[in-house]
Amino acid sequence: MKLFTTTSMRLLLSIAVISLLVVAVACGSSAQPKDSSGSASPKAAESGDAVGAGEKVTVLVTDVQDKNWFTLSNGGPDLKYSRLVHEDMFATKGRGDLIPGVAKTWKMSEDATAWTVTIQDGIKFHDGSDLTVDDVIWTLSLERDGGENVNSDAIGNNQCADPKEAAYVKYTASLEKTGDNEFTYTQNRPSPNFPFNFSQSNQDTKALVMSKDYMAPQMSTCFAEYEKNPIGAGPFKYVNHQAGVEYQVERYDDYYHHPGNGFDEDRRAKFESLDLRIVLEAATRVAALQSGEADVVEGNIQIVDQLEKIDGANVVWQDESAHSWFVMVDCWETDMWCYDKKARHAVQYAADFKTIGEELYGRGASLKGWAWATENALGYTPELDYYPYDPAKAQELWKDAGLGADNPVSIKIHTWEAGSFPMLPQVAELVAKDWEANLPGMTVEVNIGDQGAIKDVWNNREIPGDVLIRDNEARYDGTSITRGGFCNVGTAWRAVKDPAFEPWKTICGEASKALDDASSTREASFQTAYKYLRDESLMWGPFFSNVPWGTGSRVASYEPWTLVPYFTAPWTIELK
Amino acid sequence: MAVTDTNVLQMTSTASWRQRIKEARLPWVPLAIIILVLILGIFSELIAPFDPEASNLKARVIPPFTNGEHILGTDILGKDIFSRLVFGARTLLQVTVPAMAIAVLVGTAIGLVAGYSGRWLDAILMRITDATLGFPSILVAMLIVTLIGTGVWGVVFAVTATTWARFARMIRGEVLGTKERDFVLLAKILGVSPTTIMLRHLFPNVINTLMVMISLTIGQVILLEASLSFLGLGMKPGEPAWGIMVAEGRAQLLTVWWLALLPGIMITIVVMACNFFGDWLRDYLDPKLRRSR
Amino acid sequence: MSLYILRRLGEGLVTLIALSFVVFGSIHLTGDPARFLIPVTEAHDEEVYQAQREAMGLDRPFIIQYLDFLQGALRAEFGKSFIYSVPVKDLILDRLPATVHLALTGMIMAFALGIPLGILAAVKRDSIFDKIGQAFAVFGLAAPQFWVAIMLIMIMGAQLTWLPTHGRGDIEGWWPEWHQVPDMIHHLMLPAFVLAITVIAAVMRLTRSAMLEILDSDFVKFAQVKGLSHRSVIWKHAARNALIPVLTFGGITLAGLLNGSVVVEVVFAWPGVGLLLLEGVRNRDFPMTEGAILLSGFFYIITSVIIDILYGYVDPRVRIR
Repeated sequence: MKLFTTTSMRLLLSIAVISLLVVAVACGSSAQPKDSSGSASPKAAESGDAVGAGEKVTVLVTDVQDKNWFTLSNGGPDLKYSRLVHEDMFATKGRGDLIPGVAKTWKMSEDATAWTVTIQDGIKFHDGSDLTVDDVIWTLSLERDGGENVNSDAIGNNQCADPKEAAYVKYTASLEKTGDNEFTYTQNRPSPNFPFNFSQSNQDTKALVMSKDYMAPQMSTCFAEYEKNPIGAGPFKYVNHQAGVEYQVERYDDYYHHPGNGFDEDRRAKFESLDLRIVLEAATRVAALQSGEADVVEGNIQIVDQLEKIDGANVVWQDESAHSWFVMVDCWETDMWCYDKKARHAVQYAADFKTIGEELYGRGASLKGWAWATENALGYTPELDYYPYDPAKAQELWKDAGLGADNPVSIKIHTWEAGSFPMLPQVAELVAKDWEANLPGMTVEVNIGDQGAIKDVWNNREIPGDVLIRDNEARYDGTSITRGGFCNVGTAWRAVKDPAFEPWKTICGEASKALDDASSTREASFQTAYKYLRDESLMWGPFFSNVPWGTGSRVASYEPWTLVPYFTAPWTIELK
Repeated sequence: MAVTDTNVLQMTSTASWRQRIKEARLPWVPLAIIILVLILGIFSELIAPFDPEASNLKARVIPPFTNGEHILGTDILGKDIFSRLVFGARTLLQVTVPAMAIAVLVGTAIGLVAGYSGRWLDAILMRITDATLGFPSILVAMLIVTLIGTGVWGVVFAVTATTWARFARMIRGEVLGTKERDFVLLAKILGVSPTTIMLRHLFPNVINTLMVMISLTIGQVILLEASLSFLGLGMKPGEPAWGIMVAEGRAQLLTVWWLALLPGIMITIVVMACNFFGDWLRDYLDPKLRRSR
Repeated sequence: MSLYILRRLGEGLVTLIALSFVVFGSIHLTGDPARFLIPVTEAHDEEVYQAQREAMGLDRPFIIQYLDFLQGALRAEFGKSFIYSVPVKDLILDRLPATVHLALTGMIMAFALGIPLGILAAVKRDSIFDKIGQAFAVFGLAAPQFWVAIMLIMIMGAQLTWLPTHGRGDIEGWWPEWHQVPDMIHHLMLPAFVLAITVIAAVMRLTRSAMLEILDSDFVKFAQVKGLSHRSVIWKHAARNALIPVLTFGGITLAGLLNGSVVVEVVFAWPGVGLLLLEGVRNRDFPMTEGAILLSGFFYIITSVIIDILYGYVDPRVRIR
């Protein structure tokens, strides 16, 4: 039953379609690929100002972990954005070697417990006030109770701070101002890694120098004002932010670190403003780079091809960002299959890491080093590289360890999808396959779970004899992991059941002592420790990952830092 | 339209089933697709040339239609895509069948009891149902998966938790509509027990609606698995399931396009088929429309 | 009538409380956030772990934690987020405008596209229009959302650069300034469209079946007999009546869209509540997860209560039971 003439309906339809098309075209022609605020024409340098006035750089990253600006709040600030605004106490070059920065000179005492540091003159905070040694002392005292000479804003009294920071308080013996520009900080244990721990290359936020005049009055509000307007001494000034979404900063013209003040590198920005945005989805980041909405995007090995395909775009590699970590859980128990070191060696010979690394990762991973002792890290030597693929040797060791078809082993590999180290589940799968193929009697099941859940069962000692494959940040100075992970009673259980049992205690103690011994070369003592750990094979890591960054057609060059997994060195971004 | 004489004859007589099928205007294409999926899922081992979880680093990312062995190509670990797709149908069945079975059982039971009992029992049960419906499906799924873990069972329970409530609500509505009818009242007067009334008199009347709802929900189940896998809360990477396959390949649509496109097309086609089938089923079983045929 | 309203409101409240218990309980079963937040390699021991638990209030008995939570929830205070260290309420309020804008625009788009298509399909029943329209709508409903979103971003955003690929633009809060409106619309179009396509099919189907029923009904035939023009019959009589169930559906859709935008928000980096929730679940941020879920539950339940009340006005039979 026809109720409608086809003509009138068709007419209505065509009108609708035409209007939609009109709207689409109108939007299309007037759409600016970039945001309306900021980017002027690309050649702003012609205006006579060589530092890119009016230029905005947009950077897309995957995620920020922590959401506050204040250093010691729950989790603390994320270094992706806080180092834009803040300056660390000690500066480093792109790899981890210390250079003068806020700290001008530093000297360690004979027994390595005390450090005397002088502060650079003439540094100013963004609000114009001077950065003095009082500010540095105040920053340190936030967590290290300095006793009478220092205000007792220490963590114990500090309601704004995260309780897990409390651990550091106990190590402080004293913190004193010993001159106009000088302070001396003494711990109750040797700490040769103090400068590194408070430097730009450490992945820790306690070193960000805060302004005492600005911050101290805000203690009672837990720095509410600061959270809205964080003031620091870093290369950029705060403009605006939405926590976890976007961070907008602009160049700080009076940033101190440039040749005019005697420094080698000019770390002032070569553009006017920076917009750091969190975009979880990799495909979207690629699209944004292609459309010109972003200038620098964080990539991963799976999208490197896509990035390279984009017209005018480049890929820049940030090396040694994270390392793989294989943990043989609870293998110090005498009844474990992996109690015998030969078994632990066997599994390393039995997996073809070379093929896995090359095929799966390509440029995205390097098969050098042991765990965090990567190529550029302190203490690396090629002798620490991974065990080569040798199934025959693996089988021999396996047999010697008393394992085989008559004494089968059945374990699980636990792993999760890690942001900083892609494709761990795939690695687990391939390793499981190799182990089952090459080790008689071995069956391996792969459990790909959620990071929190697996850490839970690991900490609760519910997965004895299994293998955990995880990621961890790379680092130049591995003291915190070595000392913290192996020789500290609280956490040593991950490596040994009881750090007091011989010969572990002796070896661990000696390795730690060598680290503390200021007279010997730290590098050599690290090497010894690493070699021992590599041989023990309770934990190991055959390769580390390199992060690709995509740079858009406006960007002439960008040089990210090594040994750090997130956005670094914004001053190296040069626009065409 | 009036019921013609011939129509009446056809409906009441033993008219040939061939004529019936033609009258029903079965949706052939959707039906064929559904049957194909069932075949793929049940006979996966016979149909798939490779083990879907067998990686082969020497044969990675082969494009489709270029290789005799791997007709649809391989993925980043060298697994055969055709085999993954075939076993994906099985995973689909493994997830959908138990999940829907439990959801329907629980939902129907609650719906029947609530609808028939009335008063406070109904109120309580319906408030619980409302509370569950108040969770959007992806949030429920996220919670379930963090409790149970990822993988097939996580997805099964996530699906169950998100779908039982709609069955309960629908069944209850049907029961409410039916329970005042004469034959039910008659049964009550005759002293038939409530359980029997529920099972033998009320339930058969809701079967139709139930079947329609099931076929319309299956599509959502498939998509829920895909969304969860995308968020990292569904199937595990490497498992043969269409949703996780699309998720794995989603960032490489310009280069390794077949990783995401092929399973994506499968999902779309199957969900469409289920939806069309469900629509047809509803039209077919709708008494009002039946009259006008 | 007022008794019915009161009863319905009361039931709604009870439902909310039941929901809160279920939410609270199940979230607390999902793991231990204190352990989760402590880094692996630092020299931490049991003391610190306990201190962390205390600070989060996790060492108290479950029922105390729940009651504390409940009395806060009734005032819309959900505590401080574990990872943001700011009150959850502030966080949610901060992100809510983005989600609401997205959901509203999605719904408007769904109706703007779905209703005409539905009417067309009904009028041209079983014709090629009907079939194509249905196929198009069902395609939108059948393809995985994130896949469609990414493809649209690549085509419309990256290749053609007609629309932005991500984000909300420079807009903040509920009300953009006048000069920001075009930018806001640009950024809304793709994500709202992706949200809409999941709903268009349903809208279309509903409109179609409602229209079919009406077109078949007596009063429409009577109008035709009276000799009214086709246009008048369709628009003034049929369509208006057909739209009632569709609009009801709209209320529920809105609540559903508000909640279901997690995937869209992830792909488009849209700073809404959905993203917040995902973060909360992934990081075991109990207060945030609880707050966000209760909020969405609240929306849904309020909507269904209001609809029930409206039905009470329209259909007196519903009130008696």
